[in-house]
Amino acid sequence: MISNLAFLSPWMLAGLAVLPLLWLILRLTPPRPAREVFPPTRILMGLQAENTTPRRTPWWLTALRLLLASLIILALAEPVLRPQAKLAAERQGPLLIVLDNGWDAAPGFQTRRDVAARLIEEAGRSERPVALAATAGETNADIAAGTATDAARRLAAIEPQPYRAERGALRARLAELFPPGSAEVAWIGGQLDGGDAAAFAEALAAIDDDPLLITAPPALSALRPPRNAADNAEITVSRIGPAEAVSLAGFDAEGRRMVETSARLAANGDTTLTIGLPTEMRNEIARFSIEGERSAGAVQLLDGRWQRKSVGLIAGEGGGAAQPLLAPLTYVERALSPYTDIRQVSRDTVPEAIEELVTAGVSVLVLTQTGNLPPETVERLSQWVASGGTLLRFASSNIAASDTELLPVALRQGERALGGSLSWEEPQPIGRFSAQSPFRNVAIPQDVRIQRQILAEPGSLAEAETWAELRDGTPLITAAGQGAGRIILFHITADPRWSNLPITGAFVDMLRAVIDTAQGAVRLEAEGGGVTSGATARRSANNAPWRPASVLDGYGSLRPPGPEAALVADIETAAPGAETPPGLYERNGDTRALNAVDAQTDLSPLRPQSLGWPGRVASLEPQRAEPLWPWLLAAAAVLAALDAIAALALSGRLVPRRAVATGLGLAAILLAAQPQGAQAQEVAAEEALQGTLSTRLAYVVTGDAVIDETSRAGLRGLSEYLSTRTALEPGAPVGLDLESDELAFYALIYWPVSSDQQPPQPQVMAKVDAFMKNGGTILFDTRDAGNPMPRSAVTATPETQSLREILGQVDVPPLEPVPPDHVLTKAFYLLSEFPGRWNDSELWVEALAEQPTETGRPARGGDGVSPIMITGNDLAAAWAVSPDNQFLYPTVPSDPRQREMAFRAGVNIVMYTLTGNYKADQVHIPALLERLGQ
Amino acid sequence: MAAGAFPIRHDEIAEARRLASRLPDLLVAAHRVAANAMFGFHGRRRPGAGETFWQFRSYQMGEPAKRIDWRRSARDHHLFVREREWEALQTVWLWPDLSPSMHFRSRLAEHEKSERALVLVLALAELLGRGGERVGVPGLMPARTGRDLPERLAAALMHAAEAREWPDLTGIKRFSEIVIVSDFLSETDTIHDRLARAAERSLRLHLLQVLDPAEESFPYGGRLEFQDPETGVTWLAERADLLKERYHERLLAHRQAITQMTQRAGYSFAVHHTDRPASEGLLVLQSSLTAPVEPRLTG
Repeated sequence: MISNLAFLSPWMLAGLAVLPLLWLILRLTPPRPAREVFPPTRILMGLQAENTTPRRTPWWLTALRLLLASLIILALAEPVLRPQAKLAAERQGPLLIVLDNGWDAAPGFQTRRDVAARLIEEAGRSERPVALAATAGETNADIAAGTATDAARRLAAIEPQPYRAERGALRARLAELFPPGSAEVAWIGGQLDGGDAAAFAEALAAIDDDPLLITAPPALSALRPPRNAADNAEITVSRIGPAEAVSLAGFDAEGRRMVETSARLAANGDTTLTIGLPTEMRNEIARFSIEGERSAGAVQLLDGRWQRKSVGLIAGEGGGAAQPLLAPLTYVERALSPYTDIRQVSRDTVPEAIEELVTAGVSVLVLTQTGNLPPETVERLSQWVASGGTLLRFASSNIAASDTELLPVALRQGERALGGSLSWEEPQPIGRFSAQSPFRNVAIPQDVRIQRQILAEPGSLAEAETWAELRDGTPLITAAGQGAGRIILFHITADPRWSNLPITGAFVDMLRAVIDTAQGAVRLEAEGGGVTSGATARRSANNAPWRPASVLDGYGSLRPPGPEAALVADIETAAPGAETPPGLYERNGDTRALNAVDAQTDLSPLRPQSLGWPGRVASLEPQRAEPLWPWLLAAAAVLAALDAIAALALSGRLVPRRAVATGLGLAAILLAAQPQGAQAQEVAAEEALQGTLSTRLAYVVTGDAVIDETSRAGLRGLSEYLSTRTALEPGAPVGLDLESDELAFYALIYWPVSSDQQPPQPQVMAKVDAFMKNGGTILFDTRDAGNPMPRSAVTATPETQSLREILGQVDVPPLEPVPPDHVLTKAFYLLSEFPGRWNDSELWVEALAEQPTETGRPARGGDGVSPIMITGNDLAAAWAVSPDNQFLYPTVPSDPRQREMAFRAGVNIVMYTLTGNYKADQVHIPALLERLGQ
Repeated sequence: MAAGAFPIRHDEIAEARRLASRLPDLLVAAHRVAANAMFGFHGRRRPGAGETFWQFRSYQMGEPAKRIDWRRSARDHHLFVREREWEALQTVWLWPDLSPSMHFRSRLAEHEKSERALVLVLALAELLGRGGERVGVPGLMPARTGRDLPERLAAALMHAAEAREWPDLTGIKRFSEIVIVSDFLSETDTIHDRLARAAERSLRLHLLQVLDPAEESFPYGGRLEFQDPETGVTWLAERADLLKERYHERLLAHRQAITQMTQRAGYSFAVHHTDRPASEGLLVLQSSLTAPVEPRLTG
């Protein structure tokens, strides 16, 4: 213990030598007496005879002051306590240090390095040989045991690598170099298991039967590859370790921050974040990274595939520019130009134009009115589609006669005319979009009428997907995959001659959906002799290797590639490693990104338990040197206060009454800092009385002052409404702290959910769960119905997300929106909806069991009260009144009737929670009255 | 004398200014105190020439008939005579002690002793003036009547050259009433001499000892250095709390000595504390002034 005590400024201790002198001075100078003016001094004179010895300072005061002085001197010497235990066992023989330096070790790598340095230093002190092995990179480094100095020098050069630890290769080398029992092993572990950790642990245990694993509880966030969805970017963040709030930023190629979002990551799981951004800006993003997380896994590099898609438009014969509005692709071009790059074609003939576009690397090619194409061109197009291109074709009169290869289905000759003068049939509307098609989110346009279409051979429809069909079931849009790409056929023309679809808004949405499914740029190598040379087309990926342009280091920053980064033949199959570090690779102006983490990367954490670690485990956390001098200074301050009191008392200046008052004040301040446990008992009893003497509405205090005040004002408004309109006269609403307050006294608790609310502790949620199981009702209000954000399973408002977090911890019954015959709609008022400040959200309650025997009953109640109700309508804001009975928030839309309905909804909810299914039983009243003979 | 302990106490100009600045307030206070004591006390409490009704008595044969109060007699079968109280002008000299020892206030009281003494004297002057008596300040203001006596008295005190503890009694007529408000903390011998000299001149003295409550209860403790404001002499007490009992004994003995001296001379002597309302002191002075005085000159 004493040996762990160190002084940062030991020379200050020389000040202790002054203490005897100080003692002498203090002893001889008693405190000066206070002087009082006192008119009858004459009467006093000569009164004291027995007490005239000259005063000296009392010994205890001298001691107090000497102690005070020595404490200050000691504090100035800055003592610190270093409880530093030795890491390595006191053994002979070499010490083998294995240091994980994959990207998962990058956050806090300095700590790992410090621990390694300490191990080396300890070994150096006892003159043991040290072997140092890093698990990532350095496949050729010398890992044989050497001197501590060498090891320290090598340690300084070890950096975290942007790929994962390759423990398998090291295991074999270690087994060669170190026979069993030949060394003491200390493994400074990373955060990820990587699949090879267990075998590696076994190998280490073979070298040393009591190896040491130095590790910390994993805390790591990693980015999965982002997805460029229809109108936002979806990024999945994997979290290992406790839940954490992170900030995610997107940067453009120059490193400028483009977008930033923050979110709370769930513990040990994946969280999908959504970044809404216009397509143009999204395409600019070159890199996503998690702010503050310095590792290669927290960075996702984006390449050309992410970026804006380019579309080539080719119209066959008749595609003149004389009548622009009648040009076949005008409407396609107008629909696509805001969202994509439309590639201009400089060649005249169709084959040349196609060749130009496929070599330029478009991702979507739109073809219309092309009759028969030359076989070479058809082959090129097939190759292009097979390597990922999306070919979008529109029907024309001559399409059925054209090539069959580039169509998803086999077409029947001639087209089908609907609603013409020679036809019995009416023009057909669109019947449905397939749920598997990209159009599933597009609203079916009601005003579209198809007058003409090309029909497919029914037999060939089985192999293709039908994305859209007419009401009579004939296909309108078919698609078929071919290789990595896809061919899509609209069975109508791209101009309004066959239908009015091209001039509707739905056409734009459908084309955008098609573009969104398309891959990024797909490029074919230009053929040596031009298109018509007849040479065999090749995919260019086979000949030139990918060259690393810039690579990530372990901390996630981009830098020029080092000498070890090799050319990569096939970037698609390359995995991050020493020779293929994550980074950006280039070939012929095309860029591909290789990331440390992809969608499949296994991110299971490294834990001694899961390894079956046979040896000791030490914590990586540095043991902090505990500074002692603040405590010494505090003690000195206390002593100084005591000394001041003593000096006052000795000089008679201390007035007892005032001293008592001051003492009481100090005691009060000290007590105020104490937790008020002593009062809790009384408060609880008081609260129980308050809660039970009158029925009171309760709300959960969220900690957000605005929300809490709104809840309070809202429940007060509802209470007043209840008192006016119903037999219930509630007391003043009460705010509940879920952690400390008893919930059992309240039937209904209003819980406004805010986005920045921390999900409560598990024990708190257990309490809430018990409350709900025992008959209480919680009304959750996400207050987000006014949020313009589109709602779906994936995109949820922040409030909804935090509600999900809250409800994840309790046992939630199956829910349904309040059905029309639910007793809630009849508990007091007859209601069909439950508006609040907004009127867009349903009120969700526990789903009622189907009761087939009781069909036809006007109200169903179930057997109890729904323990949970969820709405997003912000009820409290609609109810909120100021003390002078003014409404605090307008309803949206501002409609007095909606306000009234909101209050009625509140009345019904309260009545429902208080009376349960009583109203549902009222349906029997006629029968009861009849039985009573009335 | 402790150098510079309370220099302002010895600076007479500053002292006069301080007094002058306080006087308006004190005048107001004195008016307020005097407003509560309404009756005049120059009446002799016996029938005589005067204006105020004293009593009815039965008509005695031989008296002039014009003395009969016919209104009263008509209500009865007897004849009554209305008697009036004998009134005579009287000269009262007032003296507030404004010496340094009076400028003392402990935290137990709200006012200095000198302020209290001034309030009492001014209020008394107002009362006397209202009753038509002649009021003066020995050596500073000749005796006169009037309703503005407090203001005149205050002006006279303001122009006093020095604050003296005891008035110069030369030139005051015999049998005059002299009211002295002081703390009487001087040596008993000094006080004896002064009283004896006054007795020689057959003056009627009314002494009111004004004391701060701290001077009575001695609420001190610990190691204290006491300073006499008159002389500046300091005296160190090691344990002041131990002195309380004996100090009190001595104070009582001092007061007892004064009481004996005044009783022998037939003077009135009373004690007033500054933590009590000023009206109490005024009442004491009033009653001692109105009480029939039987001077025993054989002191």
